[in-house]
Amino acid sequence: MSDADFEQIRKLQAERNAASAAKKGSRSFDPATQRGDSSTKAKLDEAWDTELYERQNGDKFAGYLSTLPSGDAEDEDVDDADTGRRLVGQYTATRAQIDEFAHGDGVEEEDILAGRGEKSNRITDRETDYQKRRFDRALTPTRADPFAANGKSGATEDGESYRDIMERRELEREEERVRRTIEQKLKDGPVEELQPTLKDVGKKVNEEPGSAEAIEAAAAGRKRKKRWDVASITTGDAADAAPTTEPKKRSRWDQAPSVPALGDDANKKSSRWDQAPSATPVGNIGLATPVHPSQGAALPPAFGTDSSSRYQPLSDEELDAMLPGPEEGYKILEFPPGYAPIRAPAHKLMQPPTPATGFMMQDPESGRVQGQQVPKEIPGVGDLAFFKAEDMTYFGKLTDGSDEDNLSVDDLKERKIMRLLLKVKNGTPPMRKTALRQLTDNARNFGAGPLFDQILPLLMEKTLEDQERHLLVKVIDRILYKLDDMVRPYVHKILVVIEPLLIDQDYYARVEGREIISNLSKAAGLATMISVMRPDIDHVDEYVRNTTARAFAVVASALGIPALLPFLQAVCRSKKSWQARHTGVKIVQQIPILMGCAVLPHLKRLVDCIGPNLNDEQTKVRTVTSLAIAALAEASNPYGIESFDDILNPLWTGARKQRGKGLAGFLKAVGYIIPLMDEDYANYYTSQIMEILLREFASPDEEMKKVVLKVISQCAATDGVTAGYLKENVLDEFFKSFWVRRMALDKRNYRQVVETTVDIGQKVGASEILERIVVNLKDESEAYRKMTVETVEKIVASLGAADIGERLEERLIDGILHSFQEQSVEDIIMLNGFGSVVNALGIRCKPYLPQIVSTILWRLNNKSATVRQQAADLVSRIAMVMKQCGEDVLMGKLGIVLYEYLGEEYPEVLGSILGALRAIVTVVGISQMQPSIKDLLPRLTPILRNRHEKVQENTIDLVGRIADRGPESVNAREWMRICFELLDMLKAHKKGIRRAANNTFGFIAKAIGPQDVLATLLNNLRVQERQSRVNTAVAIGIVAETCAPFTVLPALMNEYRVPELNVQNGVLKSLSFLFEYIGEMAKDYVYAVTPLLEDALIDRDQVHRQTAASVVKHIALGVVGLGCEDAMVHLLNLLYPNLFETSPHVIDRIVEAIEAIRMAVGPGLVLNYVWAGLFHPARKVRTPYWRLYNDAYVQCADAMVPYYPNLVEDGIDRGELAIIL
Amino acid sequence: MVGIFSRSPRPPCSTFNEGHETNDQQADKLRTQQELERLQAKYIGTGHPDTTSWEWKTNVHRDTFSHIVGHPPMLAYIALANNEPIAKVRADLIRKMIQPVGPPPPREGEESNIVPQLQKDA
Repeated sequence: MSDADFEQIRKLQAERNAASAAKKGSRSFDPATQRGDSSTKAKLDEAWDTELYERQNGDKFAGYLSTLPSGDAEDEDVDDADTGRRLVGQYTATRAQIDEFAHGDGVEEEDILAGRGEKSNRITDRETDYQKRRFDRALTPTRADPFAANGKSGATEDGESYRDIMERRELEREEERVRRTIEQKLKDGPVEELQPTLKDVGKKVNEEPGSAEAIEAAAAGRKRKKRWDVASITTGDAADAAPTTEPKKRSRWDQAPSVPALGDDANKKSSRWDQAPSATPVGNIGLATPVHPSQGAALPPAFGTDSSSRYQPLSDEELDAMLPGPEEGYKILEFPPGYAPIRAPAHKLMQPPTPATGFMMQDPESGRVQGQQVPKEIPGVGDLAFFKAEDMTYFGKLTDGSDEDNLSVDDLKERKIMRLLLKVKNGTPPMRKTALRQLTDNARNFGAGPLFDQILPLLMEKTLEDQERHLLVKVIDRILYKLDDMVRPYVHKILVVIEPLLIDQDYYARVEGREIISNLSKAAGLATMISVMRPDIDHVDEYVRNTTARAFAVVASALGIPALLPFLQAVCRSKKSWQARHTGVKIVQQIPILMGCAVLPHLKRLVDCIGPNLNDEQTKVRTVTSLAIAALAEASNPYGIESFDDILNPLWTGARKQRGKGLAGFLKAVGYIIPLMDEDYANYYTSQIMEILLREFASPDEEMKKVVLKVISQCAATDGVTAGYLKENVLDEFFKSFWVRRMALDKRNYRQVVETTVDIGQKVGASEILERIVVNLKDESEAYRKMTVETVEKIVASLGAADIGERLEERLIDGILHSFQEQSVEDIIMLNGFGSVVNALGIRCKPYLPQIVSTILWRLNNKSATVRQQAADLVSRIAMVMKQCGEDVLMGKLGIVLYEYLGEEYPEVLGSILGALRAIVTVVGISQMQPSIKDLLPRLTPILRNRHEKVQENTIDLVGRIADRGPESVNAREWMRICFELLDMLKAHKKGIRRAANNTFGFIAKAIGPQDVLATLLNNLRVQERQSRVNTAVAIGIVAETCAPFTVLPALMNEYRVPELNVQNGVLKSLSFLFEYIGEMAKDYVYAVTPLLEDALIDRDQVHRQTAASVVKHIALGVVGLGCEDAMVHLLNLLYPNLFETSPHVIDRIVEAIEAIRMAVGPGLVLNYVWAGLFHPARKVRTPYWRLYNDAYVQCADAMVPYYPNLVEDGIDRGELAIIL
Repeated sequence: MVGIFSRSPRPPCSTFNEGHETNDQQADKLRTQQELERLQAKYIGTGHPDTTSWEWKTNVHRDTFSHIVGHPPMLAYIALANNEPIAKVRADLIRKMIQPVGPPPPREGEESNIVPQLQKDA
């Protein structure tokens, strides 16, 4: 760039700085040095009011044109770019206003509903509609426990049996089918009234398209047995009647057990393992009344729904308030005699259902008004962290103030559980801890029923928050362990509330769900789990089947795949319903997702189990089967190809036959199997499938696109597929269909295309790809340019730029520069892309550097902060390459411009500018740096005061570097000033900053000698703040290490004489760090510090002794084997009485110190102290002694052998040790 | 020394419910207890306040023998001094590790006669 350009930029910059300084009202901004003097003192020879009086040497016309504009005045007006020179004031919104509208601040801050939006913790608020379907599930009645030992489970008698549930499911399916038929009919138009007979209707119902019945009947090609419920339509059809009377041949696992009560007297022939237990009491059949869906509402569908209050009748008071009263001439009429209010059943259904337990019943007396107000304190619970209105539904009972003496044992138990749960859910952490422990310890006394009856409805609450759910789930987890097989009757209820966790967005919720289900299956056993979950496998609701499949996979991982395999095989071959097969395959799909490579031992059997389903007549089953195979192959990568041998053929031929969604699944499976194959096979099968892939390139389906891209990248990564093959057959088509603007608009497509392109690039080389996409860098669509830059960045970063030709290189740089300049939103991708390309090209960039630097300079002067920040970031990325290219002059210019910008007000930008300066200093060196360090460092001193983390980190880094490499360029006084500023940095939150500050102390001390720095630091030991004192201590240690201990120790020990606890402790702490850092050098100073330590070790203050002990530890570890044993034994004698300290920190330090001395003087001597207490009559004595013994034993058991006491008196001497040759 | 080591062994009991404690201390103790158990699972020779002196002495002897057996020069030295083959000394030392200080003392209210579990020709 020309010097004129450069000068212009500088000038503009000066104006900007002046403008911003004037805005801030700094009186003493000095335009000559571009520096705001931050001192608070006023100059006497300067006018105070710069608004009225001109500055002495300042240019008061800065910001104005000094000449009249000539021809290009119009341009000036329309020019949008803010050049800082404006003829007329701009009347526009303030920055704050613009920001407000841009970010919606101010609007949303006051929004009281904001808490209910995305930021809310409520689980329901972030759930998708699909996940919300969990509220459709009801807590089913308690189940019977057929596996219980005699009379062990109290719920056995009154629980629902497997048979009941299967029947109910059957009915639900039937209902669903009828409902769909009706819907279908309504859609198809009015039914002709006269034509059908009763029998035909029944037939039509059965043959409804899509129903499992019709399809299976067609596929099987034989007349199926009518089921019990269908056969009840007795219209005299002989064909129908015959199979009904036919005795049952065998019972299949997936059939609902027949119900004798309905006239079917056929006895079962055989009983199978997975059948409903025949032990179910027959008396239950009478109870198994089919539930009509309209009655389904009687099941509690949603607990604590807050809409209930809306339907409550208005109270008299409310009516009085709303309606005109007697004073306006109205009067309230009495009921006519004989009037009884109508109670419509529909109203009743609106009200929250009341389950038998009654725990959620609102107190009828409290009425509407009391329901709204939330009590501050619940009797017997104490102060809660919070109490929500919804909690009243569950815990209201606690506030009714009834006398506990009159309550029955069960009521008391219920209240006790309620109280504990409330404490766990809403209490403070310590409350929670004790309550949780009590619940766990008493779980068996409370019993599974009362516990789960309260916990599970809470988990179904709509307003539940993450934290509450976590805690309740934790309660379940803990009590599961205790209850063990007592949970069996409640397994299904627990699953209903826990299964939704398995599809939560939150990873930890999913893990928690898995944990619970796995513990549950261990507690309840496989048989119970299967019998409980079996009815849900062909549930009408897809949501239930999906979650059940996931839960089954967890059961498989908990109890082992082999245990579950026979069941899975049976389910996957179910003839009765395709839903069962679908779910079965889905279980197999979830198992590898859950267990990863742990499926390998069972891979063959799992694949065989689902293999036949690849040819299922239901598309959904085929699709899920292919997905399951994909999951298995992914999990077993790179092993296990032999397990897939049998299904390769159906898979590949299937892929040819399928279309649409089914094909996507098949292709996915193919994509995951190909990487498992050896080279020849991979090559062969890839060429087989490529035809289909190429055809599907044109597919408009998003899902298909994703799958195709994934398969292509998997194929490309396989050894068997050559670069030549890809170039010949794939590349052209690929770029034609996927490198189009539309792909850049969708986030997922975008990422997938980039990934695939990079994967192909790994095979075919960088230039092949870049050649094709480099034109896109100048495309008009920004998203497309971004996609291109990201691809270029990834390819260049991984493959380098060696095979990029001269012409391509030119186009590449040109394109990147273009897209960098044209970006409307500053993006890290552009920055990375630019940085990577420049770094990859290295010295080949030289011709383009002036242009790049010119771009950077202009952008550094941009109005927008993000543009400036990005430009500064770019400088730090390319500084190294600029040095390689020998562009020192350009770097100097950049340095000067950056230096001028140190007045930047946006901290993010300032941080980047400092980072850029640091990068330049690093590559050009201190001496060549422009501006000179002498000028630079004083500007940095005030910046050190900036509280922004990014600024702090970059400044301290820069200052530290200067202090390290060229401290002589600045005078000692400036360094001292910096030292003072650095003390504040010791309080920084970020560890990196504190560490950098400490190291800088070391460098500065080395540069200007330790005395002044040390004085500063020692003074800082007196401050109140602990963090600051600790870091000062560290800094002293570092100074001692860099400037030799003898320069520091005398002053430090002298400081110990100050009769102030903080200071003395600080000194000890410094000594501790000091000895830790100097290590072996300590041997010369041991005797010097021993008197000080003597004093510290017998101090009355615990912390004092603790700190002294850590000094002893570090000294002792430093002087191992250096002949200071006498001093060490002396210190040991002083340390040893502290062994009976009980505070954990103190005792830990003491024991550590004793161990360190053991290292220094050997175990024999120290163990002599230990023998005395190992068998002391007092446990309090024995405990610490055994601790010492154990530590010694673990660390040096071998060395202890000669030093064990010789047990001559007991007659069990170890004679071998006394043998002398 | 004698006084210390000839104490009668006490039944191992690890209840520490002396007095009233806050939760924090309890949790702390629990953690310590768990750490100790882990340590003892890993290193047999470590002890706890309820280790009997018989257990400890047994460990001392076993450690000594395994120390000698584990360092071939030591073994060679002792073999030379005793004028025995190394293999024999080694086997002897290993055999001596079975109840090196005699059978465990009887517990209170219990007849004790525990036969060594290992075969003599080990």
